[in-house]
Amino acid sequence: MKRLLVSILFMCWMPYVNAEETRTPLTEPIVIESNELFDGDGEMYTSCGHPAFILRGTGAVLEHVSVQQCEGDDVPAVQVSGLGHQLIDVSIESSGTGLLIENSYGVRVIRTLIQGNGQADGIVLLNSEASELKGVVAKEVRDGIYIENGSRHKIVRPIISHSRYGIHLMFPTDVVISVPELHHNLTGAMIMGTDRVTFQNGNVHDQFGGTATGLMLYEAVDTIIEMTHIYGNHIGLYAEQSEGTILERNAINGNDIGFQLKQASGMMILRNNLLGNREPVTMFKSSENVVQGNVWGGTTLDLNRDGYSEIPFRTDPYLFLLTDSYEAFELLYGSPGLLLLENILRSPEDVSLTDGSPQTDSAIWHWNGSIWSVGSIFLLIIIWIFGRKRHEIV
Amino acid sequence: MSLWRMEWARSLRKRENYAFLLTWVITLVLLGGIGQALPIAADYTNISATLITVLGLLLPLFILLTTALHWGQERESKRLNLLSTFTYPKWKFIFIRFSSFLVTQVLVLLLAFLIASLVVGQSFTTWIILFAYATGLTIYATALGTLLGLLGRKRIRAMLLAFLTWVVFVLLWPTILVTIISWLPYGIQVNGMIASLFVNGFDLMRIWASTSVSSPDIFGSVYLQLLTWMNQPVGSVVVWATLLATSGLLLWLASKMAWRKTS
Repeated sequence: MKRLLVSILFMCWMPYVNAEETRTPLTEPIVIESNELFDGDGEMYTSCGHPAFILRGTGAVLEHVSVQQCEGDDVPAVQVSGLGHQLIDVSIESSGTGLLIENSYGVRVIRTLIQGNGQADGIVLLNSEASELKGVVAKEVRDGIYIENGSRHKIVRPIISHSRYGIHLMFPTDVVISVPELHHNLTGAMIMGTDRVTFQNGNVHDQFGGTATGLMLYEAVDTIIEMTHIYGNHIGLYAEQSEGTILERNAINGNDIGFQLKQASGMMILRNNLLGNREPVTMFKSSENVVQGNVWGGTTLDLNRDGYSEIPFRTDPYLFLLTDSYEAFELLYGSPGLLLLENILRSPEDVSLTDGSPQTDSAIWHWNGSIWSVGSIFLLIIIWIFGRKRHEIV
Repeated sequence: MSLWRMEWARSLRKRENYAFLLTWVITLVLLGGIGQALPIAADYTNISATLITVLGLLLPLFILLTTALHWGQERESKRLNLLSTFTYPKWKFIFIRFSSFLVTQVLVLLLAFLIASLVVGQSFTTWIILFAYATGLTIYATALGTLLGLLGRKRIRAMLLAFLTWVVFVLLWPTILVTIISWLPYGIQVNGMIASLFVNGFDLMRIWASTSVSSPDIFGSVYLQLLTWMNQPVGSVVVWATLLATSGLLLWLASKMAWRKTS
């Protein structure tokens, strides 16, 4: 018994012993030069008014370190420039930018955790090429990953939440974003002025705020968004002045508006599932788009049983036109009378979006009842029957 | 109480209740079944949104027509004249009819929601909000229908009036708002839209239900503040108090109308 108690006491005590970590205050940045390796063995470094680590030259490695910045610092916690550096298992509590990578080539960032205070960005890549970010986790920062200019970046499995933009791309080209998890941000990903960005196998959900947009494309050319789940946002995907976008095999469900397209042309919208959005799509001045095989949740009729409807799905820009000119009319979304208005003021074919062969969808029912609900039904029926009996004043 | 019990029994015996029950069950089960086919179950889907739209379209029509027809018939058959010989206050008589009809409709709705919930898996909160929404619509439509029925004097006129009111308050409401609000200066358009909510009880309930079942950002950033407030208990209390006060006012007007015409 005594041994057992000692063991339990020891087990309870263990985490506290392990949680103890040494803090090393830095009076100046630790500079890691070419081909040097710095292994922090999980040690925590605190820095005030200057970066904790600076990587420069070629092939420097920083691994297993934690960095904590002083309150109100506006300098980056870790600064990187040069070629082929690696950062592995770095944890940063930042008040300024967590990790700044500029004028670099082939930098690899693996399993980096950044906790901010919402004032500065998590990871910033400026004028860099071919960076690889794997398993980045950022929370409560301004932009989780901010990339300005540069090309051929690869972002794999980022998890970004409670920030302004999860991923913010400004003018880079050839970026691949795989398996991102972006949630509870103002906008999941803002893709602006880019060329050839691929966004795949992601989960973009539950963004918050008045705009609450899953993915936002602005002046983005040849963007591919595929096999991504976008749900629980105000607008699932917003595209403005973007050309050549391919949206393929995405599940865009449970948003207020699935797609919102404004002056977006040359798009290919193929085999997406848009069930369960309040409005599957609203669009305006978006022409020459190939739209085929999507599930919209509208009226379908499959005569030859090939899974595709013979009745085309057609969306009208009326609602978007209305709210784009007069924001106040957003209150009319979902109004029963708007159904009538949309049909009366039908727009010409060239400004509407039509899916010639939408996929059919089917309803599913399964038993959800309980003894309580069945009992309640019987009770109500009994009340009805007894209530019906003639009751005259005597 | 005896009179109320008699009126309630009369109300429950009406055959249109079966039609209402069937309509609500079919609507809820069909739309709910599509919702369950979703690959991802999101809290707010267009199923609840569509239910709000469909209930907002059909329920006022059914209730307005039924109540207006009923009161039009009472006036046309001179039954109200007969009733005026009783030493019973008119407002009390109208309130008893109103409340017994309301309780019947709530019973029918509750039964329909319970039957639908056997095969449709919405969250309990969603069901409660949708039921509250349907009840709110019924209260407002019954009060309005009572007034219209007494105004119409004859069944056909009462029915036409009710239909016209439904067209204006439900079908043409967005068109009317678009026409009027777009003439207002940009700075007060939002205020105009908010004010219009308190003119039309059907629209007020739609906004309240949509916000409650979803989130305050559902109608964009311009209404975020209002709808955040509406989502709080105090906001809900104000919305329901407004609805009940408006319905009370309509019933009071109806009782005045009945008094004036029958005496």
